[in-house]
Amino acid sequence: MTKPKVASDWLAGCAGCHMSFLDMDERIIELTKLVDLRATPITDLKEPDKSGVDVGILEGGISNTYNEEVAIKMRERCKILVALGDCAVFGGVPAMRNFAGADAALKRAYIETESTDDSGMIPNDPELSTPIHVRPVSDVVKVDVFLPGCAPSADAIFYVLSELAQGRMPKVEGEFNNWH
Amino acid sequence: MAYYRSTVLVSMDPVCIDKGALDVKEQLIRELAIYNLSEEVQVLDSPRIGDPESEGPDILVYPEGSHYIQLTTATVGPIVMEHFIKGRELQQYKAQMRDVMDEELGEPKDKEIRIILEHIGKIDPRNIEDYIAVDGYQALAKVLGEMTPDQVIQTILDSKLRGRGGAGFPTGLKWKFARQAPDTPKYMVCNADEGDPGAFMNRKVLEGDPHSVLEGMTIGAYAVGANQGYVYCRAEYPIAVSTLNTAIEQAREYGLLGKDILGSGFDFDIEVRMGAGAFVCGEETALLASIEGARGEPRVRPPFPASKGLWGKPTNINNVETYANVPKIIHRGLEWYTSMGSEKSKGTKTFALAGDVAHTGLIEVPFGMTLREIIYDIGGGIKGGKAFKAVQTGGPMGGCLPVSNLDLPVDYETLGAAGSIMGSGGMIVMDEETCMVDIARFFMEFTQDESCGKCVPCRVGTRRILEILERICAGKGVPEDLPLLRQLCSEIIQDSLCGLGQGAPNPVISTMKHFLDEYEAHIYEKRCPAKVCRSLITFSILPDKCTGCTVCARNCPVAAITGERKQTHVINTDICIRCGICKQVCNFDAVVIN
Amino acid sequence: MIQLTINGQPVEVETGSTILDAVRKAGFNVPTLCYHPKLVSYGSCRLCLVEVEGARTLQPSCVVPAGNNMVVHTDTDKTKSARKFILSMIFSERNHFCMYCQDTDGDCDLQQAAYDEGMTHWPITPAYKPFMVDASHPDFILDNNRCILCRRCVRACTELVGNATLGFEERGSGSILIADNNVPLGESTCISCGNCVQFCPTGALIDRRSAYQGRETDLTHVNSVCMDCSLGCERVVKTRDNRLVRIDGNLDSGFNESLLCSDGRYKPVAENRKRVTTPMVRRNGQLEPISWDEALSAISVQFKAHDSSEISAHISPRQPVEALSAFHEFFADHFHAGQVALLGHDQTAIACAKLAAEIGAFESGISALKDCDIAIVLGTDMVKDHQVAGFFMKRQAMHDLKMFIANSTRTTVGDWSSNKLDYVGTDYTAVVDVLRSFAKGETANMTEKLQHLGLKPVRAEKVLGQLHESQKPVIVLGKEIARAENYAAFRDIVLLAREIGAKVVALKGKGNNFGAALLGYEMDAQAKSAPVFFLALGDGHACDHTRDALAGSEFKIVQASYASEFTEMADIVLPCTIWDEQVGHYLTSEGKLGLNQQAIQAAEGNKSVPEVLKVLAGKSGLTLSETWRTAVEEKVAAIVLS
Repeated sequence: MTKPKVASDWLAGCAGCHMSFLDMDERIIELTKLVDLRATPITDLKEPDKSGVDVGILEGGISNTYNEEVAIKMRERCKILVALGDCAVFGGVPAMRNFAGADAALKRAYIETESTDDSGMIPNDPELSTPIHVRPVSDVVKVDVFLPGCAPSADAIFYVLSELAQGRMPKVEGEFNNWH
Repeated sequence: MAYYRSTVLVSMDPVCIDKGALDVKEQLIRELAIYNLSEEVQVLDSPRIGDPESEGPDILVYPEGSHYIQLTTATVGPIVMEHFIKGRELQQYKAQMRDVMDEELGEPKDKEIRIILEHIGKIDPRNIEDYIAVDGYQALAKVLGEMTPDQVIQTILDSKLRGRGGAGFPTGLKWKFARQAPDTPKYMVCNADEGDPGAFMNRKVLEGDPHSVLEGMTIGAYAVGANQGYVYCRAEYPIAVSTLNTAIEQAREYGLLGKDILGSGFDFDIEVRMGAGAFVCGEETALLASIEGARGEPRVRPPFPASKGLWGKPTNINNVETYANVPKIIHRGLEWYTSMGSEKSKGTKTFALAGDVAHTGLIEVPFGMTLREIIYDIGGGIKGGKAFKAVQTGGPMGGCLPVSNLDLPVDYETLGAAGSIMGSGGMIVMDEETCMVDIARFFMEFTQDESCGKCVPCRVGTRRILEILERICAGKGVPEDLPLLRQLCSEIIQDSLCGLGQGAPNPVISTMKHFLDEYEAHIYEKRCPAKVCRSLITFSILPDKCTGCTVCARNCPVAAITGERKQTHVINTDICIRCGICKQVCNFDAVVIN
Repeated sequence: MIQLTINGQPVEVETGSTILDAVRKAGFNVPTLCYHPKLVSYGSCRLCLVEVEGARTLQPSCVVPAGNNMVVHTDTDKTKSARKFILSMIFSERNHFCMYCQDTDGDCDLQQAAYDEGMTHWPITPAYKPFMVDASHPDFILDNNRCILCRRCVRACTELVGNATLGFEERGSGSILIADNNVPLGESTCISCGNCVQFCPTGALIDRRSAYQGRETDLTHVNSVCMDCSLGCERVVKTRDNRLVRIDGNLDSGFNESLLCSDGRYKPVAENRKRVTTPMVRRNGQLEPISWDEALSAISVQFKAHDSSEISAHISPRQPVEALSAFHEFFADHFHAGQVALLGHDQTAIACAKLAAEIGAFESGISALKDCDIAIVLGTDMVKDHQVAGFFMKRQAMHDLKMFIANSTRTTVGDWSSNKLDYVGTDYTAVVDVLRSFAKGETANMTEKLQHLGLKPVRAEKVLGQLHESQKPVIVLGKEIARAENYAAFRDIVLLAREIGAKVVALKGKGNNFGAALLGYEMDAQAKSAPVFFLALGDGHACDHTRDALAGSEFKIVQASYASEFTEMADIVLPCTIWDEQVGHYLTSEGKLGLNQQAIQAAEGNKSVPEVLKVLAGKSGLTLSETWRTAVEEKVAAIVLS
């Protein structure tokens, strides 16, 4: 029987959740016996398989149109989607930008900083994605498993992945359910 | 923040302005400045106050509620001197009793039976002798002279009189509970907060026949054992407040209120307390909190006001109309009273017919009359010959009943079973050009604004529902909205603290039940079948009907219509704000909504 | 008693209990947010809804009284969906970001409620609309983003503290917490008692100084008693790594109902005076460090070189009974020093002891203040000097409690009441005379007497007219009427209280004034300069009079925790442990011995007052007895009614 395929990606996050994932240390070897790790920011592949994966994991919230595209693509290509960490589940720290608005944030970052001279301008290359109101992943695509935490502990991540690997829906509760 | 001790509203109705209201206002400001009152008295523009033709230019002075009419620049000075310096009203310029027989209350139609509204417009509410002349206070005399409190309660129980405020609780039973409560002193409170939009039955009674209410309260106080009563009247009814105060003063003069009423040894006095603009203060425990000077928030029951009400003492609260029924029942007898109405609900009910009926205004009918009779026989059917779509009963907490319910006899139980409520008597008739989703949104907007904010389900839940309805009306609805709305509605009803929250979802639930197709059209097709929701409609001009008269173009507030004289005009849908003015002014029915 | 069934289990509760009480007694639980055991139940969050058979709607268990034969179910589909709904509504309303909140991970009731319901995300995303953060107050921060509008803070501020600074503005979804008429907290009528912060279930109100320094579980909790004023409120001292972090009220406290005032809660944490770290001696006009042994030997030499009448010894009322007792034994009993006094000017405790010796026990505990139908306050300003007692008065004043208040300066303690009469002055003899007249119903010549005091007869009649018929009169006595020159009036009013069945509560000034009085101390009203002046200042303050007396003395010994003008002029300076570095007892206003436990290990080089006295005693060939408890307890019983 083939091992379930797992892919992940990060959106508007700090990569801390993936670092926490790596914090499971040597258990990652055990995990790779149970699952087939496909595209992740820490492996070499760039996109979740077109033929689909079993479990998709997203760290970080949705803060621009590119994030939306990545989230939608992941949702299309996976059976079970996991929102990993407070940013993916709640919007997290990046969502603080909503209090001021994307425009004000961009102005502050590119024009009003103390080290900018008169020529400061907000980048407007058409290739760049558009910043939008920051949202949790579940506001854009359906999420099946929420694993909050900033970051969720390695134990929690290991538990969720090993449950999914064995065909069970994990119960995120008790010490695995931390909203901070 | 400046604190004014007085506010003067100056009517800026165009007719008043024609008659010199601007000069009057300038003079007023000048006079106030001369007496150094500018920091104490605020002068504000107001829409019409009294009838501009017969009373303008007129002003309304708060907090007294004094209405001065037919003013000129010469009369302003004496008013400022008398009212603001000497602190008393200048009688010669005050408005007298309004002619209450106006478009609000016409002559009774055939099927009406007027008990509560009987004397309005026929007696002078500021003259107690008029009321006495129509057998007023006979009931009180009988009660104090010949009946014991228990007999009074039994009579009201036997009459099957039900609370007219909306819940329909048997009044006799309510009085019995208050009588049995061991604590003293006891209070009698009249709920005159009438907050339902479009309902003005209570106002009419207070303005036109205040003594009927006072007499009812006094009889009830005797039955219950209370010696002090309060009428809690909303501040938006200054004339009612003023009429009540006059009536109370006169009743005292005539020994019908105060100490040793009619020599019986029974003491009872009444004070008027005013609301301050909150619909939620029509809820009885919030009303009591407001009288106590606290924030107008409901309290959890039990304990009920009958055992712990005002200041923790036994309190009986009834609606204006409930009290007004009492003297009639006592004076004219049980047989007469119980001959009217249905099996479970005896007597009559006033309704405020509004909306798309031919004859709007107040009516009074016995319980058990069908909606069809009320709307068609008495209301004259739908205006403009359009089709009936729905009738909303009971105000913002009521449901919308469709055509299939037209033969429903109007009764507390039947309306409740059909998904609506009796409420205080509001009845809004809607024709085919009404969008039911928009109606639900409209009522939810009202409830959201008026929610007191104490409990989570109502405060936040109604906001969530409103947001969803607004999105749907703006064409941004998604399929998940429907089950979410149902879930929110049922939770809010189940979890809210008071009747406002428990009833707030009713318009949504009833419209979703009877008009689900409209919701679905908004969500799936981004279409408003009734052509009301602005984001979902466009206006266009039919080329074959347009004569190029340019009337529409000239009246368009955003200049969205272009066209040469005698040429077909075109509406630019990008600029058009869908206000509908062009359709109104077109004499050729050339403007259509898509 | 009431019998009912919870989840199939029968349980019996006292009449007046709520359904929630019965649920918890039966061993079950329902989540709550707006409920708090010290506050009148409000029933607004609706999280505690339970199913009661036969009831039309779900019932809020925190508020609805338990009824006989009620059948209650706490975990049905309806109640579970209600809880999830309520929580999802709360999270959708404002910005409840846990990741950077001071209250996260154990200190937030909202977060815990979400965990208990098994929530892993917000079912409805909020609008991320920003709400105002009010950081204008020196002691705490209000973050409206985290407020769940439970109003525990408002209710505490009004119902318990009687201050009513916090309130709500607007209605419905626009409701928002405000101070006064919507002014910044730092500019409001807030008295910085900090009780609102304690009652807040989320991170909406947080303590500034201790924020982000540790969760409750990271901190060491030490139960203690406050020694600022003489009330002796119970409190919990919280430390981390031997550093004082925060002081909170104790939910299990007695008379002070878990409340504290700004003096007890914030003053100690805001302390920023410089510590005295080593004993010092003055050589050539400069203070130089020396060893403890050298310092104490030098002091001992001074004692031996002088006649005992030339020694003047003074100690701070912030010192525990152990220190006061040792100090008195050393200087008065053994040395018969010229003057042995307690710092401060409040004679109330001494007056009480003197009077009780004459007429027997007469005082009631402070709790008598909480429920009265008329309060007569003579010679004290509770709002300044005994704030928590002031809370008890203010919250009754809100219900128009009849109050007669006499003080040399106007106090605001009765301002809420429309049945209050103020006398600003010092003629207590005349005041007591007027009170006696009212109490006896002897109203002849009343107008004259009232005019003499500047009181309006109509108002006096309104407030005091029914004094002789009062069921629960309470008389509060303080430092002004307790002055020696007013003793006759003091005595008369207590005797009058006995006649009319009024309870007497005497507020005794600072810290351990009561204990000191019982140990025989005189108050330092006439501190005298002397050849040798020993000032055991500890972590307290002393007045200008004491400073002048010290300045006029030849050999000045100051044991103090902090550098000050007193240490600057001393000949010998000894470091001293501060209140949380020592253990000791304080006689509270109820006449009970409260224990201040040690919470901090003092830095090397600090000694407490008793430790110093022990060494000094040794050097003089004395042993201090260390027995004070029985004597003190007996003496208390002679004054305070049990």
